[in-house]
Amino acid sequence: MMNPVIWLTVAIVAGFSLVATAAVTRKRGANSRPVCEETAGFIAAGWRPLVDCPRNCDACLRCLRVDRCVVHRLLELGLTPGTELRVVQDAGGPMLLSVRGSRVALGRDLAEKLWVEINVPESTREGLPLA
Amino acid sequence: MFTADMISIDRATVSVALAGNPNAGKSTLFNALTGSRQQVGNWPGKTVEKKTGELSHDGRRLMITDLPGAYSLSAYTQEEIIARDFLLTERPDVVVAVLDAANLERNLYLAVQLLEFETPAVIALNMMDVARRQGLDIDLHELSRALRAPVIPTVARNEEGLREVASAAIGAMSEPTRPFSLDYGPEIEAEIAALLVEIEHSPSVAGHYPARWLAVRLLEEDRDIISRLARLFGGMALVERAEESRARLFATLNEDVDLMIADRRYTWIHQLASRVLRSGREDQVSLSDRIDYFTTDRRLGIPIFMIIMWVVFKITTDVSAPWVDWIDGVLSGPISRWALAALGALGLEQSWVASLLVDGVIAGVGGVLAFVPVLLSLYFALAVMEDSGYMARGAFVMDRLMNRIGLHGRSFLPLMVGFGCSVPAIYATRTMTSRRDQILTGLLVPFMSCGARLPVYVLFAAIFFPGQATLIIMGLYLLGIVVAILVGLALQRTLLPATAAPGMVMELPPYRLPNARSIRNQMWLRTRAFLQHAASLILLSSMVIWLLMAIPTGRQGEFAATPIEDSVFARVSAAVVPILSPLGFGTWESGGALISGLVAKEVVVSTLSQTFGTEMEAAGIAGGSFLADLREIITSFMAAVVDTLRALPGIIGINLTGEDNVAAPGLASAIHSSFHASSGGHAAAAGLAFMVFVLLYTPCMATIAAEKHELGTRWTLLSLFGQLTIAWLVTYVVFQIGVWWGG
Repeated sequence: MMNPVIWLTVAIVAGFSLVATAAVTRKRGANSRPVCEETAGFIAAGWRPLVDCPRNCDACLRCLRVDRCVVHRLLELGLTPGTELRVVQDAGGPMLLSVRGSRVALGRDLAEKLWVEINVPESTREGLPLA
Repeated sequence: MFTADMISIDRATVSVALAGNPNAGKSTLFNALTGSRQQVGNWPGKTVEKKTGELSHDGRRLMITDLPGAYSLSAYTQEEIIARDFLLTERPDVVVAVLDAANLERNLYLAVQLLEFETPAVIALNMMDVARRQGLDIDLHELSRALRAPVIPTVARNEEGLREVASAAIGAMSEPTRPFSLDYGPEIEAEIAALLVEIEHSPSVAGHYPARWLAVRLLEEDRDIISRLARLFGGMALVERAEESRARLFATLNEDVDLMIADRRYTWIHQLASRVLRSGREDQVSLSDRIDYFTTDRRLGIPIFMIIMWVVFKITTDVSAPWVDWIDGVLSGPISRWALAALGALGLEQSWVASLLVDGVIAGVGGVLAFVPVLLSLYFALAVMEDSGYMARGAFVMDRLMNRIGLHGRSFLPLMVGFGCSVPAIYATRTMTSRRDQILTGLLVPFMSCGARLPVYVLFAAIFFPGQATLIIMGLYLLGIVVAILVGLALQRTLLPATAAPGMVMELPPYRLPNARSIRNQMWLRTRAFLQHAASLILLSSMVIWLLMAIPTGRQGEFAATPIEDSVFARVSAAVVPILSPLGFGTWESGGALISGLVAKEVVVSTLSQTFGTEMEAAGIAGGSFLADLREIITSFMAAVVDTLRALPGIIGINLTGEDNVAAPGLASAIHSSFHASSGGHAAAAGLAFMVFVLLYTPCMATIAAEKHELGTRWTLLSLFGQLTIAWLVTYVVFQIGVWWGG
């Protein structure tokens, strides 16, 4: 029979963990994309938000709908309109892109605001199976 | 004129600035050039590291400043501002731009801006080995011609090309500058020309900034430049002109000017790259990509990260432990004996001077030196992770989880480091991009139970929960994490709301083998910085406590020879007893130990042994000769080496070390009975409560010093009192539940 104090410790830790998990995994409101004129135009032109691109997808960046201060960070790393990029990894959180020869990680909230034109249909790349 | 006239060719000292992208090998180049002749500090008023060093070459002295890595010279991040300010105010003789040959286009974006500064420049085209492996063939002549600067191929990690860079730097200083300019297109160039005329008419402005560079910056609406110009005579007029130019351009081009400028830069760069790069298998799936396939995978990424973190953790605790013991043994053994012998020669053996020296100074110094092996191994592990490129993957993988609790992936590293020691963890928060993130992470670091608290857990778990010690200790670590999460959430909603900080934008450098020299450098320089900073504080506090223990309160007992319960220390500790009573350990012994824990958590156990009147380890009075002592130092050194080697397989789970012995039985029973009494018979609950209090309460002086250094006084005070309060509340709850449950 284990010392009741052990149970106590376990109970406290479990209790705290439950509270913490509950706080942390609160369901967020459905993420509605702002459907404005501009984005409607994008969709009509065949563009998609970057988050819609699966792994190994080749795309061309068309528009960065982000704040000024962020846009410079993106430009510095080579993400300018007209740049070719490839999705290396999409882990559900940030996305990993191949841009101008280097690898750039983008937070998901940013990836939602980058509009791209998917140019090459998904193909099997050497060594990496399809998503 | 902005640039000084280059008349004198044989100036003996040449000031060189090293600039480049992060991960372009700039630091490797810097280390290779300067070797050990370098200094690490801070840029004044900032938390960014500043490295300077020197090199002798061709009869000249090159003073090299390693500017922070940046992707451009706009003014959006601290690193960029620092780099830019240095170039503008210090006006180095030469700028060496370090470019990654395998990533030429992106690297040229910064290079082009550096060249617009009109400072004599040299291009170090680094990582040529990687480029060659990728089949890239670069036309150096054409590149040099287009950039109007010498281009030197280098492989910094193999020290190839270094001499040529140094020579080129010296040479560039004496050659007339051939101004570099990039064609931004007719409309923008027209506006630039108009602004240039204006600038020439304002001598005070023209004297501070390169003209064309300034014109471009004004068109880009660079806020930093605009605010500086406002302070110069004629500056505001210029700013207004630029405003008009921008408006005209927006009307004509139908696009923001700064975006156009960036776009034109990249177009120019792209055209140059297509002329200069030949037969590259660009954007192939590299080995790095294959590894990343696993390390950034949705399901595998985090477990892999956890395993690696565990290895780091083990390295800092198990591998450094034998050395901590060795230092401790040497100091309390031979060194103390030699000190006493020296004092004996002066006849001061029995006096309080001896006690001050041995129990105060040497113990204090030991307290500081004991940190050194821990820090060295920690910095080693961190340097390997960073140099290899894995650190960025860690941040990538943890980002989503960390976002949920209001932090970023980058916060995870300092928190992990905090499990070893809080001090380097606080310093590691420098890598945070925003101040708010840095503060929030820094405040949570102390909740990651540091290595120094472990002896307390081991002792108390062995006394009160024999047989379930590991479970209890793991529970404590978990409790620390949980409290940290809750505190983080609370802070997020109150004092530190999430700024509208944009999400993560981060480059993941390719994996590579860590460079031994840079690791060695980082280990040593950072440890030295810590020692300089914290040593005085710990030393001082140790001596204060010694003093308190030495001063007698009663009529009996003399200075430095009183039994501890009659000292001022006991009186002071007694003052906190009422606060501790509800927690189950309201005795002056416990209070005293906790107070001493403010100096360093390791001290808690030794103070407990002092206050409960039992000697933990005799300091080996029967000292032999000097030679015998030397032999002892060396044999214990060898033993430490053996223990370290034994600990290494332990990292992957193979345990070769013997089990640690339980504490001296005398101490154990003394503590047990004391806690039994103070808690009204609920010794185990009180023991657990004590451990929880040690886990959560105010961290040691060194950590406080680091917090003050990195986070500022206000937040440090919040941390101090906040942790005390949280510790008290949680411990109270734990104790009361323990009493109720235990029956």
